[in-house]
Amino acid sequence: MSTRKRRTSRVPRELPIFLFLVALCAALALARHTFASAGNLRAMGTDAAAIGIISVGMTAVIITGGIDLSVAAVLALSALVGGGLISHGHTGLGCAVTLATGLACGALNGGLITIARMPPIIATLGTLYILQSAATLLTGGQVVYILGHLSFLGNGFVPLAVTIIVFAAGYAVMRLTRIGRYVYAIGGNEESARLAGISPARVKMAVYISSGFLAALAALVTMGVNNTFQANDVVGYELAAIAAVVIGGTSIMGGEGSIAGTMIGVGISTVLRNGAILVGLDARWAQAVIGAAILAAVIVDRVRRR
Amino acid sequence: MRKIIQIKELPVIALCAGLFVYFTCRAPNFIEPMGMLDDLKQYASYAILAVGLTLVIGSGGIDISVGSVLGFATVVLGVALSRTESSLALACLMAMAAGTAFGAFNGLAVARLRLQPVAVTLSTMAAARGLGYVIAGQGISSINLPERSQWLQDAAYYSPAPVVLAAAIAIAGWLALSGTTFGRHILAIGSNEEAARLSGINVARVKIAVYTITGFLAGISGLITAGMINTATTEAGIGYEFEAITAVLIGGTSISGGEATVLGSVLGVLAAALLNRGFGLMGISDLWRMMFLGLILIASVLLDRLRKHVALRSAVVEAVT
Repeated sequence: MSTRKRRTSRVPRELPIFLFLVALCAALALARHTFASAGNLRAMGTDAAAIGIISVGMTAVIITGGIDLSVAAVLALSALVGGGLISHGHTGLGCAVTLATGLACGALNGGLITIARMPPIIATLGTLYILQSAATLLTGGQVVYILGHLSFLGNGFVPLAVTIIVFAAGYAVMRLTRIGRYVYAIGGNEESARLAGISPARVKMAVYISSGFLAALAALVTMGVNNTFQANDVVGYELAAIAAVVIGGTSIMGGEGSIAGTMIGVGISTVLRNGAILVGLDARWAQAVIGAAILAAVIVDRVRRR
Repeated sequence: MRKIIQIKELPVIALCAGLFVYFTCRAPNFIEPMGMLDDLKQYASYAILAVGLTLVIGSGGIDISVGSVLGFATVVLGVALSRTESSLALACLMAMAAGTAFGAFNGLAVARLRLQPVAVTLSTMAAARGLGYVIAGQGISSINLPERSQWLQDAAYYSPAPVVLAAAIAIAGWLALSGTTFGRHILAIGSNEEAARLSGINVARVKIAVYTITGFLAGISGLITAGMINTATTEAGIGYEFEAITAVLIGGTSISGGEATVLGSVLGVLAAALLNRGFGLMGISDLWRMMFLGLILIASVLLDRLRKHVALRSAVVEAVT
C-alpha cells in the first residue's frame, strides 16, 4: 500500500497513456474535421458504453488477481432473459429481471471461485460456455425486439452518461472505500491480506457479483441503443474489455491498476476503431493497432517496475 | 487402487468411453466408420492446437493467440496463392513460417522481456487477426484457393490425412513431453520456475521453444482449415483458443503448470468430437454440446482436486500402516 501511495503522489501512472489518447484525438481532429463533431462524439460514446461498463467490473476482478471470461455471456443471457419481458411492455420488471440475472451469474462465478476454489480462468471459461449456450437455447437464436421501450437508455448522450457514472462510482469505490482497498490488498498478496483479517472469499464474491451486475447493466444499455438484441451481438466483448483494462495499465498479475486507467484504455480502443473508419479504413484493421497498444502498455508497465 | 487413482487421464478416458457407449446405443449409425472419420477430421486442427497448448500450459504459461494465428496463416496461404505466382509448397511454407513467427514473438516477449503470457498472447491475438484483415485487403473476408492448390484440398478434404497428421503430431508431442529432457524441463519450469533456473535449466530457451512450436502448429492447423473448405477466410479460427484450452484442461493438464498430458488433451478433443457427432446424429442442438463442455470443464477440475485429495490420503494411510 505504501509504495502505491508514494507513486501516486508523484506522476500519475496513467499519464503516458492519457497523453497518448490526447495526441491520438488531436491528430484525428486535425486530419478529419468530422472527428470532433457532436454526431461523432455521440457515436463514440455509444460505441464505448457497453465495453466501458463491463471494463469497470473487469478492472476490479483483474486487480484481485482473477479474470472474468464470462462477462459477454452474462450480458447476452441477462439481456435475453429480461428482454422478452421488456418487449412485452413490462419495462420495469424486465429491467429488474435483467439485473437480477446478472447478479445471479456473478454469484455463480464467485461461488465457483471462492467456495469450490476453482482458478478464475477455468471457472469463468466454464460459465462462458454454459451461459452463452443457455442464452441462445433460451431464444433459439432469435432476435429480441425491444420496440423502443428502452430508448430512454439509448438516445443521445445517455449511454455515454451512464458509462461515465459507472466509471465515477467504480473510481469512488476503489479509491475511497474499505472494500476498494481490500481488492488491492488481495491482489497484492492474498495470504498476507488474509492474515491481516480480510476475508478474501467475501471480497472476491463481491467483485464477481459486481462484474455480473455491470454486465447486466451493459445489457440494458446495449438493448437501449440497438433496440434489438441477439446473442451474437456481444461475442468477443470479454476480450475487448480485458484489452482495455490492460491498455489502461492494470497489471494482469493483480494488485495494481486503476479505474481511471481503464477509462483511458476504453477511450484509446474506441478512438482507434472510430479513427480507422474516419480515415477510410476497415474498422477491423484497428485490431492490429489495439494489439500493439496492449503490448506497449505491458512493456511500459514492465519497464516502470524495474 | 492408488496406482489407478494416480492416472490423471482417468476422468477423460472414462468420459470418452462413456460417450462412445452411450452414443453407440442411442445415436443412429454412430459407429459408421466413414462418417466417424469425416467428423473426426473436423477436429484435427483443434487436436493439433491442443498439443501445442499442452506444452505451453505445462510450462506454466498460456497462449490465447492460437486461433488468430491460425487465421493469419490461412490468410497468408490464400494471399500467396491467389495474388502471387508462388507454388503451393512455397505458399504452405510461408503460412507455416507466419505461424512460427508469431509463436517465436510470443516466446521472446514472455521469456526475454518477462511479460505476462496472458497479456502478450492477448496482444498477438488482436494483432494477428488485424494483420490478417490488412493483408487480405479492404472489405475482403474470404479468398477462394486457385486450382493449383488442388493437392491441399485433396489431402485435407478427400483423404484422412488431417486425422493421421494430428495423430502423428500428438504422438510426437507425447514423446517429447514424457520421454525427453526437453519435456522434463517444460514440466520443471511449470512447477517451479525459480528452482528450474537454479538447477541449471535454460528457462528462456525452453519457453521460447514451447511458444514457437505452438505457433508452428497453429500454422499447420491453418493449412488444414483452409484446405478443408478450399477457402482462406479472415475469420478462420475465431474461438478455437477457448475450445482447445478447454480440451487441454478436461484432459487433466493443470492450469497452474507442472502437470501436463498430451494424451489427455487429445482425448479431451476426442470427447468434444464424439459429443459433436453424437448430438448431431440425434438432432440435438450444438448449443447443448457447448453447455455440456462447460459443465464437464468445471466438473473435471473439481474431480481432479478430489483425485489428488484421495491419492494423498491413501499415500498417508499407506505410510502410517
